[in-house]
Amino acid sequence: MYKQLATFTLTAVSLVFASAAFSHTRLETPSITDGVRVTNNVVIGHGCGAEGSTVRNPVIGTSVVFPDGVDSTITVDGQPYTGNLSDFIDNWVNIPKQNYSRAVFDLQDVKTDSQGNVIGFWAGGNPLPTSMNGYVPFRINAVTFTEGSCASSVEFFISIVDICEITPISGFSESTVGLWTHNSLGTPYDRQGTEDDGPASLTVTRTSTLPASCGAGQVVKVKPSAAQINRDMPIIYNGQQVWPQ
Amino acid sequence: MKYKLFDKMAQSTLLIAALTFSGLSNAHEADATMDPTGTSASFTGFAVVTCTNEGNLPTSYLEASVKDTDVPQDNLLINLQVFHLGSGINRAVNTTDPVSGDDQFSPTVKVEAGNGTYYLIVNKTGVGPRSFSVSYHCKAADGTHTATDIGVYQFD
Repeated sequence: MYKQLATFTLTAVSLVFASAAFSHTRLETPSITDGVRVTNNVVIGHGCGAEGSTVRNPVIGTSVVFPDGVDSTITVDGQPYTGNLSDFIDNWVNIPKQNYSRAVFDLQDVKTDSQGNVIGFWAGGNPLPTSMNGYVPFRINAVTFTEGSCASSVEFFISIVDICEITPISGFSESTVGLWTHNSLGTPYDRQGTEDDGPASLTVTRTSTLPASCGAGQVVKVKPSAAQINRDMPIIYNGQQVWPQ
Repeated sequence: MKYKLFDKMAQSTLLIAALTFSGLSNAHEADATMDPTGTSASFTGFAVVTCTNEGNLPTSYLEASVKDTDVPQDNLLINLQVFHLGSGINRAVNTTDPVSGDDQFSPTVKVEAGNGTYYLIVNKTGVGPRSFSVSYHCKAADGTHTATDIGVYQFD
């Protein structure tokens, strides 16, 4: 009976008429304060398909990349900043920690830099019914502001690709991937569109008192570099790239 | 269906996950080998530890120690420095595993600076590979373990 139900479900998901109110893939908790660990989720709101389409392909995996802060692009109050992220945040290393869960996808693993620090994660394995949300859990370790800095908040833009079919880059389309990424980095993973509204936002707000000389404080924003996205967005398993391919 | 590729990976992934050793993910002990090629006396590991509340209980201090897990070797010892900068508490302390290969940790040292970021540096006294384990724990004033996270800046 369960097998019959499963077969029916798999057939149905490809035919289902999804809600008109498609939502972007975002973090369940996009705003946090400094100095506190926060359990969070990547929330996948819908499958792949053209904007406005009523038929969607189910998401079978997701790839999530946080800006590493090493060669990231930083703005302060909207202006380019050529200094380092450590001028504002003094521990932006190994910050995300994936929580094990097979609630949505069977497989998962972290993405790490050359020192073993986590800079992202992926999950995959089962088709997520297009009529349902998928929650991919992780934890944000406590983020601390650099003493003496004037940052009142730092917003990190997290790049996510929802995968509906495993293809090479040449096979990317609205029906095979959902690109919740920047639109102008110059990578194969860039979201198509004129607005840079793809990535999920995570804003860390300072709770400690700003130095008196800072006034209202500075608003800092951090985007990943193209080099990081090209390096970290692919899914590597056991030394082999399994997506894109 | 191409999603079957993920399915095929499932069984081996679970097996490997059970066998893989990850130094960073072990509960507050980081294990690694310095100078694996045996050519660098200046090999250094540098990490940041973030201490925060456990529930409503704030961190009072970070304590740490180091253990040489390699074979015994004369005149090649491992040191660990713990330090904190800022909030008016600029303090550092050192501990050395006095006997290599005896499976005993160095004396435990601590720096008291409350919640926030602390730094660890591990190094050795000469050329030669050394495997080691660093134990690090944020604790409240009453010794209760508090939230402890680590990230590695340098290992070369």
